[in-house]
Formats: sequence, C-alpha cells, structure tokens
Amino acid sequence: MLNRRSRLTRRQFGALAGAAGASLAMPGMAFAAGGPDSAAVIKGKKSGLIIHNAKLGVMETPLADLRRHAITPKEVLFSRLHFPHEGKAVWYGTLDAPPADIVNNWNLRVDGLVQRPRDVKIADLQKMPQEKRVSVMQCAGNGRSFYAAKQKVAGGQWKNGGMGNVEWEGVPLRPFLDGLKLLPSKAAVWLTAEGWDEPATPEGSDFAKSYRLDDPALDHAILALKMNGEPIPAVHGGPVRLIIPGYYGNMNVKMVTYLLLAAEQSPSAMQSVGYRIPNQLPADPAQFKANDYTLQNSVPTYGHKIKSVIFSPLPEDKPKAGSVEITGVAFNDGSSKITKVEVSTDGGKTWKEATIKGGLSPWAWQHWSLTTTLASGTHELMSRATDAKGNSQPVDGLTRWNPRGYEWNGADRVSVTV
Amino acid sequence: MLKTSLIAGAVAGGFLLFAAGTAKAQEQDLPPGPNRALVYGQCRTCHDLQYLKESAGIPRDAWDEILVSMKQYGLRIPDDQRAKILDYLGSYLGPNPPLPVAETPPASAPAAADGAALFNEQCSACHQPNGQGVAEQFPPLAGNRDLFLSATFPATVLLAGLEGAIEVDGKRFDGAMPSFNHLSDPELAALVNYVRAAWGNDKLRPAGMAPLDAAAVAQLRNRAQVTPAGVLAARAKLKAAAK
Repeated sequence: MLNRRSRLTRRQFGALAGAAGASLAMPGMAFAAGGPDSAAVIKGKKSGLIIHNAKLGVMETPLADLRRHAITPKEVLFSRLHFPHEGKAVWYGTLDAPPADIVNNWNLRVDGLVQRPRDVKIADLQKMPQEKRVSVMQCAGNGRSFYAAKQKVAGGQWKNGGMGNVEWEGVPLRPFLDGLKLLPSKAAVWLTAEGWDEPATPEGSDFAKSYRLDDPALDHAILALKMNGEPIPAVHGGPVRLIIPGYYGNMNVKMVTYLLLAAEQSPSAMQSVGYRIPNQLPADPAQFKANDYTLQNSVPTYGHKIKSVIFSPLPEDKPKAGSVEITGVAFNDGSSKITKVEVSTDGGKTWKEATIKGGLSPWAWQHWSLTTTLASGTHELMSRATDAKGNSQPVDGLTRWNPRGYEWNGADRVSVTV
Repeated sequence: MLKTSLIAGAVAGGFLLFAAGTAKAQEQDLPPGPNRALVYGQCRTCHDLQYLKESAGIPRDAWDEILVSMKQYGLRIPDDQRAKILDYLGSYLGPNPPLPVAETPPASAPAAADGAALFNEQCSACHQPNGQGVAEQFPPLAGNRDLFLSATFPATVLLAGLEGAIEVDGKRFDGAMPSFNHLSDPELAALVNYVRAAWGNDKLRPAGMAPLDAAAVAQLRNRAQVTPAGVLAARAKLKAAAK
C-alpha cells in the first residue's frame, strides 16, 4: 500500500487505488483522481468523509457512519479548522496527539484584569482533579445547505453530519480559575479564550471567543485534556481544549493558549462579526448582510438550538413496506430535558410521538425510536423535538434564515421510498 | 513499452509522470472567465477553491460581503484587483452564470506577458511583494538559489505545485503551493524570468542558463504531469546533484 504520510498527501487527493496509482506506486506518493479524500486531508480520518474544504481540514460525517456509534470515534468525527494546517501549523493536521515537545512546552496564560496573572503547563493541568462530560459537538454551520431553499448562504454546504457525540475529560473551569487565586477586578465580566492557531497572513484576525463570566454554562465547562479516553487529537484541539457542554463547536476553543478576564469581549472578527445570529429571525437577505452584525443586533452562536436528526431509515437503506422502526437523536444545550420527539411520515400533516430512550448526559444526544407502518411508495419522514422549557424545532427551518447560515434546526426531513 | 520507459524516466528524474490531464483533476477548477486567474492567485493562500465552488449561486452582493469577510481573515488586495475578483465571482459563480469563455490565449499566440504584473497578481499574496516570503510557511524568492536548480525547475513547481517541508538557506518552510497551470505557457515563462531577475536574483544565475521560453514550458506541460510531492522529490535529487 501507499504510505499516506499526511505531510505529503494532505492535498494529494487520495483515490489511491486507481490504475495510475497501482502502476506507479512509490512510497509517500498519492495520485489524483476526482476530489480530495478525507484520509489524505487529515491523517487518520476514515476515507470517504464529505470534504468541504481540504486546505482547512473541513469535513463532515455521512449519517450512515455517524449512526453506528454511541460515542463518535475520532476517525469519523467532523472537523473544521480556521487556518491552514501548514507551515508551523503542520502538526495539527492529524488525529495523532500533539507531539511531545509541543505538549511539554505548552503554556496556558491566564491574564487580564487580575492581580496575579498565571502561566499553567499541561503537566499542572494533569495533576488537577478531572471530570468527564459527554456532549454533542456540532458545527454552528451544520445544516447550512438547507437554508438554500430560501436563499443560498455562502460557505461550506453542510448537511447534518457536522456533529458528533463526544466524551471529553479535563479540569473543571471554575475551580481551576478559583484555584489560581488570580484576584480579579470586579470589572472583569468577560472571559476570552484564544487558540494557538493563527491566520495564514499576518493581517488576519486571530480566533478568539468570549463568554460572560456569569454564564451558567461555564459551571459545566472543562479544560479538556482527553477526548474519548485518549489525549485530544491535534486536529480536534489538543493538547487542551475549552469544552463548554451544549455549546456550538466554535465556542469550544481548540489548542487554548490564553484565557483573558476582561471588561469587554474580544474584538476578534470571529466573535464580533462571525459566528453570530441576528436578534430578529428570519433575517431579510436584502436588509441584513453578512457583515452587518453588531454586538447590539446579534448574539454569538452559544448554546445548541433544540434539534433532532433522523438516523434511520436513510434513503439508501431502502426499507421494505410494513413495519419500520424510525430512529434518530435529539439534543439541545443541555439546560432542560428533551421531553418530546414527534415523527411524521407524511411530510408534517400528522405526527406521532416517539419513545425517548435517553442519552449519556444532559448534553449528549438522546436516542429516540418510533415503530410504524409504511406502505409502498415515497414517504417524507420528519422529526421534531421539544424540551421541558417549551423550546421546539420550527417545522420550517427557513423561519430562522440568517445571512451566515448558522444554527439550522428545522424539523429534519428524509424522503424514503419503500 | 512507451509507458515503461516513461516510468523509468520518471523514477530516474525523481518525477512521477502519468497521463496528461489527470493533474488537472487535482484542482478544484472554477469556470473559465475573465479574471479567474486573479481568483486563483489571491484566494488560495488561505483556503482552496472548493470554498468558492460550494458557495456558487449566491448573488453578487453576497460575494461582495465575502470579500469584506476575507479582509477580516487577512486578504490585502488593491481596489482594482478586488473589483475584478468581484466581477468574476458575481457573474461566473453567481445565480445566472454566463457560458464559460476561455480567458487565456492559446500558447501559440504571440503574447507580451508581463512578469512583474503576474507576480503581483499570482504570487505576492504568499511570497510577499518584496519576495521575502513568510516565516515557516512561504519561502522567500529573493535570493533563493532553487530558482536555478535546473533550467526548468521553477516552471515545474508552477505547473505542479510543491508540497512537503523544504529548507531554504537553513530555514524550514512547510506551506502547500498549489498548481498555477491555469496560466499560459508565455505567462509562466515571463513569471519565471521575472522572478529570476528580480531582487538581485540575476546575480545567482549560472553562466549559460538562458531565459526560459514559452516553448520549454509547453514541452513540460505536455510531457509530464507532476504531483506536488513529486516536485518535492525532484527538488531533493537536484539539490543532491548540485552538491
């Protein structure tokens, strides 16, 4: 077999088995045929994930892969980087743990409006008490492609595979901050997390995310050192990632090097313009443009909006007429229980209540199931979740259209022919 | 038998050859149209072209917003280039794209390609306007002896791209250079000749190495489609041979 060293094959578009590849195989070389393959884009990823942007390692998981696992393995988990894994950033284009020299020299600076700024090493974090959190990790852009039914939104055209159910383990954030005895000023009301990664050009905005320090979601946040029981793979944010269970992927800053306590949130474009949701939805495409976001007219994509996704049957399952079990998952930001999942087999005309089978934590996805009878023909399956706070998915997700295409949570739709 | 000898030649030269045309499939080609080359030159520093392809169909004003966003990500281009890029994106990747038209003249057509202008549009986003590059990612072209590794080496890099860590003057670089085979043969020749003369590079030129002509580029393009990793291997062989 060909050696798939990521450094050489990262953008080498991996259909490795073609005739040309077979006849001209040389170690370290891959051949072009069609598009890039996930296994060549990020070392260790399963072949055949859906690529959205090879240079930035952006890929989603086919639902047929996603549904096979209670905890989503790293090999199939979606990935999204913001800057190329090139140059000094080559090390994070892989599912391997970050190299030892990087881990050993890692410095987490905790600074800002505090009397005693601190530097923390990974070894320090490892000595502190650890807790586990199972949480859905979901790209804020997951489902963006569905907004095209109103007006297409620029960016990766994600379907439903930009999510996974992941177990994290690390140091609880609040005890960590308290234990550092930073002696913060009362004016410090924002926490900003910044990652090691940097833009490809020096003029670009760095990636940073800010949270209100009194945000209850931070009560459950951890500085994670492990993912699914092993050191966090570099591409998923190792050696240390801020995990805020129930929050959209971008809020869980990877490769954290800096925690800042401040009176203001970060001016990073990733916080102030990108990854935001207008206060008024749907936004009018003619009135609210992709750079019209202000701190006043919009909010960051913090907690997951309630959502359900049908895992089975998928169109390719080709179910037979008769009794059919419809299954899937539902989740929200974890702040209240999923109390109801309704399923329609007639495009939303009638709904039946599914059985909720539960999940691994309040922030994990909850499995549900409904066994019903499907006659021969084409059926528009739909699912819609409701939580204890009364939040429910819109039947028409387009009512939440927004110019950057985030937080799609319309009732899920799968058309199957039996 | 022809195939066998090609392979032997390829391995000996450190190159990988395969059927002409397959290398093009590596690129996420955009529809041909005026100013497409500028998009290739300026946008691939930070992301690949699939980002644009997946967004195809959005209206011109949404593309305008993308360019605003890209400034936040670090895109720095003069207004005239921005306008040209927007013209291309807004029409050829807009809601009602026109039929594709060839933007580059055939290689045989007499063309007064302007190497300096091409460098500005195609190379400076990564290698910087002063040819100094960016630490660890994009190697400098100013004072870079690789430009003279062989008569055609820089043209090979432009046609195929170059991927994998390299050292230049003792410093390590590990960016990923895409192919610039969207440029015509005269354009690529003019580009190579410009870079080989700029910033005092002409002083590095070995005696007897003539300027590159379009015919030589055409020959490279027609004969060999090389992979970026193949170029890396070829470079290593040429460096070893030069020692």
